Amino acid sequence: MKAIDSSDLVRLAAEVKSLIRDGVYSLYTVQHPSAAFLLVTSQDDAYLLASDGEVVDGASGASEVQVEQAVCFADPPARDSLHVNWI
Amino acid sequence: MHQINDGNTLWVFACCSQEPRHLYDIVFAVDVLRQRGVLDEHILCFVDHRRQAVHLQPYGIDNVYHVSQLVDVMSHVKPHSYVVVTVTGHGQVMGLGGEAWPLVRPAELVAAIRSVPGITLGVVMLTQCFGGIFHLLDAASIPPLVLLGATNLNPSLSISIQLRQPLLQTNGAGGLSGWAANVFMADFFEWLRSPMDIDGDGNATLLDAYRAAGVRSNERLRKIKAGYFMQARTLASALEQASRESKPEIVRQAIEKQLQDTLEILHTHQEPWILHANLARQLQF
Repeated sequence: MKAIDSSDLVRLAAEVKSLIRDGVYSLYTVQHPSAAFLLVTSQDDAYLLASDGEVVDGASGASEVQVEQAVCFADPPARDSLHVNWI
Repeated sequence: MHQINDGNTLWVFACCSQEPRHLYDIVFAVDVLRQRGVLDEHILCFVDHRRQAVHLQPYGIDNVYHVSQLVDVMSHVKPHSYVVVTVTGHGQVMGLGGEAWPLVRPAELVAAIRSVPGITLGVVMLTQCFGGIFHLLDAASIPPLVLLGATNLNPSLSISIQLRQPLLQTNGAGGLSGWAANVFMADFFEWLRSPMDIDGDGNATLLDAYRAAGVRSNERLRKIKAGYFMQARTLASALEQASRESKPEIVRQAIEKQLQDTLEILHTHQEPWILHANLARQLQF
């Protein structure tokens, strides 16, 4: 697991970072010619991100990219949050 | 009395979810068990997350099966006197798994626990949504079971927590430091880290763990909910603005998800329950 500061992803919206931090969304490092991360937001939706968090490809098939490590944020959150445990 | 110790108990985790936060619930719980001296050979995980290995293996959690294997694997483990099963992840009306594709029905889970070789007593802690569908099962047949739930026929709740120190990975690097933790489960394992006699009978028992986890989790929820009414309004405005300004879909999805969870949480009450309380009073940690 790779721990990074959320501020490294300067082009990624705070709302998305919040859901990554909570483990609702999944962020992975990938070996890809034009992307550094894979962001999985649901069973059907995934995005390839550049190293600064910019979305480089939201096309179908992104979810099939081979992932390397899960990513978590080392810096503390700005506020508390809650989630329900059903789909 | 029954006494849980480092070597006589099989600790089982079951989780149906594609969200890593539920795997992190397991990572946290396993860390507590290891601090108590429980060896990994006494810990089993059943999950359906398609990328579970990249989340669990950095913490040395390798004894992992798919949830669909639970019934078969449980009957072939090494003998244990006690079995403690913790269910996290997403709950459904039919059991564990999807509503249309239940992987393990409540009766199947109970039968699987009773099939563990050498078992004299089993505990099932249901922290997923709608855990009450496991309530009122036959807990008295031999071997007897204690079942407890984070909530009954409502959704259960997770809360964003931040650890004082990140959990260490097996390579020595710092890892998980915060996630949206299943609040009842987190407070149960916090109690387990330092078991405390709540009811004053002189023993730290499963009944004390149930009481502590129930009160502490509800207290956390009550405190955090206070700000949620205003947050719902803020998120609703943000969503309108995002639509008006044609912000990217990824941003609108994230705001909508947060707003949806906020609204549901404002109307959800988590009420813990326990079945076979007399037996829980006899189970010491």
